[in-house]
Amino acid sequence: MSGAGDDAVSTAAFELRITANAEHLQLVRGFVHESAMCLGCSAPTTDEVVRATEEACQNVIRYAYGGSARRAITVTVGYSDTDLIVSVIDTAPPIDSRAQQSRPLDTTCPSGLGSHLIRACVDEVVVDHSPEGGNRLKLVKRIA
Amino acid sequence: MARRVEVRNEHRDGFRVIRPRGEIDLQVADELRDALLDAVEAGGAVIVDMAGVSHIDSAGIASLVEAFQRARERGQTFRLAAVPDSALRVMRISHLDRVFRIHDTVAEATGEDG
Repeated sequence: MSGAGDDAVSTAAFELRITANAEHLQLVRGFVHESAMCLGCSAPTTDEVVRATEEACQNVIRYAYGGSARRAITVTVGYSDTDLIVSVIDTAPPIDSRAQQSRPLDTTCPSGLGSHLIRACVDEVVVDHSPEGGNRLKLVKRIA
Repeated sequence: MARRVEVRNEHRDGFRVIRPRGEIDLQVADELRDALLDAVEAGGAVIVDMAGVSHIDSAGIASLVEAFQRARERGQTFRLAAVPDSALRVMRISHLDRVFRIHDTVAEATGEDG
């Protein structure tokens, strides 16, 4: 898929590699916050990107890895002329991106809230396969 | 080192007031869930004072929803107070602002029945 999340037009500026443990979510929030601010994002934009990234990592921890805390998650923060681009990369079996479409929220059953929040907080979500095998979720936020 | 969520529990004007503090995420959401469910199971009306919550993610929100549902099943009042803007935005996105009774302050939450 081409567009704002395309590698050809984006530059990765910062990278964080963690094991898939909920203890590291605080670290992810701090990393994305500092990276986005360093790249000149406004506070509201930064907050939304931080939230989307945290929810994406949480989905990897809970569902892609099924709670296996030894596996790795890589988070990169980069930019293009118009966008801030965060990638969340795992080594789980490839997922069907069509199955990742946000379903209507049921407020009596908050399952799926994380995916809903991701789509609400960024302008574009791209799911593809990472070069190492596994999945790469690109979160694209317009900044210009 | 494992992080824990601080949850204070007090009584005020016939309500049990639960005051979580800090960052509520997947790591500590179960702790919040247990504290809230314990409060509901203890009986009576429950207010969650969110003023000390600096961050809450979907796992934390899910804990609030579960406790709210349990209270509703038992016919108990369950209210939120002093919800920070960032958490309020999450609730609006997820339409949960229409589900929870949300008050600006604990005092306001205790002053309204029904």
